Amino acid sequence: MKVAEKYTDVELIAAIGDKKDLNKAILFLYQQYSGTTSSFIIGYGGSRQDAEDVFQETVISFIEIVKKGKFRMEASVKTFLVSVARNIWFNELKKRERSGNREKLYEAARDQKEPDVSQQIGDLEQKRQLREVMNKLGEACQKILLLFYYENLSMKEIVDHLPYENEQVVRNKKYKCLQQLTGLIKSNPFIARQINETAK
Amino acid sequence: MSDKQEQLIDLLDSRFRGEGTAKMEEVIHADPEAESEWHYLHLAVDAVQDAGLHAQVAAVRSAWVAQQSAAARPAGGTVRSLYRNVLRVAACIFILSGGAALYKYTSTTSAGVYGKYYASYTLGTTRSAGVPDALEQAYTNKDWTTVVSLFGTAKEKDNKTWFLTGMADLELKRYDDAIDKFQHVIAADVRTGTDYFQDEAEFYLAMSWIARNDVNEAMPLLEKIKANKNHLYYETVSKMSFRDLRIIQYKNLK
Repeated sequence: MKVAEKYTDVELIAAIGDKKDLNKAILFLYQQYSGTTSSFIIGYGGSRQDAEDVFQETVISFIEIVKKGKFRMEASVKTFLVSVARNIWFNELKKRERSGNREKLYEAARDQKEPDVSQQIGDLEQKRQLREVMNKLGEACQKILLLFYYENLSMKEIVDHLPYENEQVVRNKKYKCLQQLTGLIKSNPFIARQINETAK
Repeated sequence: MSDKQEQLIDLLDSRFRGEGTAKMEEVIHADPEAESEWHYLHLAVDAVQDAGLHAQVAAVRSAWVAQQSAAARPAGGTVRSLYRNVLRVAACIFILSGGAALYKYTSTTSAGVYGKYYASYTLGTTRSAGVPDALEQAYTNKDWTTVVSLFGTAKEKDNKTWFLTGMADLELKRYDDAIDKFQHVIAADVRTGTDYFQDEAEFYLAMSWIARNDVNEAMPLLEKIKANKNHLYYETVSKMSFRDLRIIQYKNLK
């Protein structure tokens, strides 16, 4: 991994949608835009580590938004990323400091003209909770589900990657793993509360 | 696993593979229990996909950080030392001006403003292309004359090369040369419709004008940056005293 390709905004969006180009696209995002958002985060009291973490979350959110077709190119990628990073950082600050004037100060610093990305980013806390739930799953289950639902491999291809005898064994295992994951999600108090509130 | 759960997972998988079965979905929505289970299954797939993407981005980030760490200085130390330097410069200006606090008008100078707001551009803490070339390495080592020399012999020059050399000129107090380089970056971006190192060039071009005591030239750039919250140097410029800059403008008119 050396120098990333240079992309225009349109090319970048296309690269994100293409599985084989995704790593190049992510590297490009780091090379082009990590400095911009880091300056902002550090300017608003974050550490270097905070800046890196926020940018990672920003990249993940941005890719998800693009993949779901929610990035409408109404703003440039740079502008959009800065808005996403701001949103993530303000949320983090809210979490860290529930009270006090600083929160209001940060909120006041939002530019009313900047794109409202909160809807597109979705519920960050829910994402965090889902990530924790996923980590509770055993390694074998994580692998099989990632290969099927993230890498998009067929059962036949998964047999080549994992030590299972045949496709039927993989299929059964995947059923059980998905059921286990669903069970863990159901037993997560935060998610359960959210779903109950949505159902009301 | 119940038959219903199996059917739901089969449906989920077939939808995931782009095979639609609208009729089955109608059945799901008519059954609250099935609908709830369907929702949880979707959340489970979301969790898997998020975990996969998280791992992929984290892997690229690790590679990126490894690349950067070879060239980068510790950012915290840099910031602190820059801060101390700014304070030292500000303290010197205060002492040399002989009680400057009493007479704002006499104490406000281009050199003072420049010293207060200038911060070296650190390659490692902002953006940088992968493996550093000789010029970038010289820049990281603060070997300004070598940067300028390598620029002279470089066959291919992109905006980054022009910008870093402009910064080296600025560090060497060759303000006119720095101005030429930064203007080149901005002009190249206008020509190609990109913004590669544009924010950086705009800010340091303004700083170069201030260093040359041409605040009139710097003001439009600074105002442009201050009006754009997404500008990389928005925070820095927002902290600048525009009153001081206008005092200098007024003094230059006399």
